[in-house]
Amino acid sequence: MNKFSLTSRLSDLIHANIGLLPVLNRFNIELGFGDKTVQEICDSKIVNPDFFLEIVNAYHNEHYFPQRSLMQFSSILVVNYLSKTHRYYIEVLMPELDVLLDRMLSFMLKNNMTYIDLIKKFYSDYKRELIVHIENEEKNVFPFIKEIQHAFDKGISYNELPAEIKAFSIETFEKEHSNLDEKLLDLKNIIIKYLPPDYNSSSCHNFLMKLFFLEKDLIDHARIEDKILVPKVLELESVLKRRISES
Amino acid sequence: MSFFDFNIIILHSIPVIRSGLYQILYEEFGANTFMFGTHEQLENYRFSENILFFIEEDYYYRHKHEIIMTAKTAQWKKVILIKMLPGKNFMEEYIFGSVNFNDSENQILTIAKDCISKKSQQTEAINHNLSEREKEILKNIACGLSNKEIADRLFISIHTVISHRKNITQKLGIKSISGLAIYAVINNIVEAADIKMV
Repeated sequence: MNKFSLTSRLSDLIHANIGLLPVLNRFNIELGFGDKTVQEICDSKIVNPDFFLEIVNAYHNEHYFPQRSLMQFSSILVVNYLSKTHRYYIEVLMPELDVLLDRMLSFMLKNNMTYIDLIKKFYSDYKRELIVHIENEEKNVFPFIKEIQHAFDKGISYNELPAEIKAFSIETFEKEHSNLDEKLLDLKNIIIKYLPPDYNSSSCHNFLMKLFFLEKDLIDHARIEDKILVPKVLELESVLKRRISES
Repeated sequence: MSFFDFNIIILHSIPVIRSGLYQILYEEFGANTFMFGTHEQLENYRFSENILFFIEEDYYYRHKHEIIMTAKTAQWKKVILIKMLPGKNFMEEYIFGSVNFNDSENQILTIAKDCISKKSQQTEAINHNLSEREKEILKNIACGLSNKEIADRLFISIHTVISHRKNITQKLGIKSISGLAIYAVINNIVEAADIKMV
């Protein structure tokens, strides 16, 4: 139940949980930090250390989720962090998964061609849906949130917002990632429970481990969206709307 | 799901008692175990759907409502009271039993295991093999037929089709149509050529 603090050494974070490597990356923190503490690294990278700690602790301990304290940070910080995780899925994790799945399936016997193709298609459909989902957030949702936060910071009232911003509300943002989660779970079960093991097992294990890793990251990501970002933007929207009635 | 996923949460205002109890339970149940001094601290955590609480007796009666509310996402919750003085428990919905602060490690572990195994036996009772009827339904699902079409073809109600589908999904751990289709091909329930991938 240990929690990382400002005085924790960054190297200890990584020793405790190797899964935090990509999280550090999203804050532009590279390895080779010697014995520097969280506070020291955050200062040198101009990262908000409290935000960094809450993100790292929530990632490290899936039971820990400091909803209240995370609500205090600007939604720009949260959006930037989520954007970085999007890039990581598209540029790093998905290409790695592509290679691992290809390698795994290429070991399978030719007479199983029928379901090899089905699995390939299943995976590529999943990947396409995930990318569509990400692009929608990047193109429609995140710019909207940035505008709202900007208006809030500048004291602008809801009436003065551009029409395309007023036409959108965070309430219409799809809160459900369930369809995507379902498919990922299906893929895991198919491989773990049902696929006859006539493949090279280490290539299969590598693919599965990467898939579990993606799943953990997606859960963390969705948790931040649903529990932090959406409630936070709802709050900003209602403050902006109150400004109309007061003015 | 045959693996039973649960958390054990200890709530006690006296540090020595909660740490001692934590030590005993941690050795048996490992990282599923947590301890807190007050129920407010629970808010920063998200626990499993199944929770076994060990709670200081007085504290439970004083804050019962808040504690249950904080754990509202949990489907299954049971409480074992931690008593300072032996005595009877008011039996109610959540209370499974009690331990005394001077009980042996064995007594404490026995009651925790009793409570958990009762729940996990219920969870494991599902039969995972598909019936012949379910295979027939699955074949039609894999071929891309709608509930209505399957109902018409097999002369059963839509309601029956839906309930079969639910059972199939629960047994196999696969929800999507394309995932079910892959299962059906692997198990020779349907030919790959007949599948319409959705």
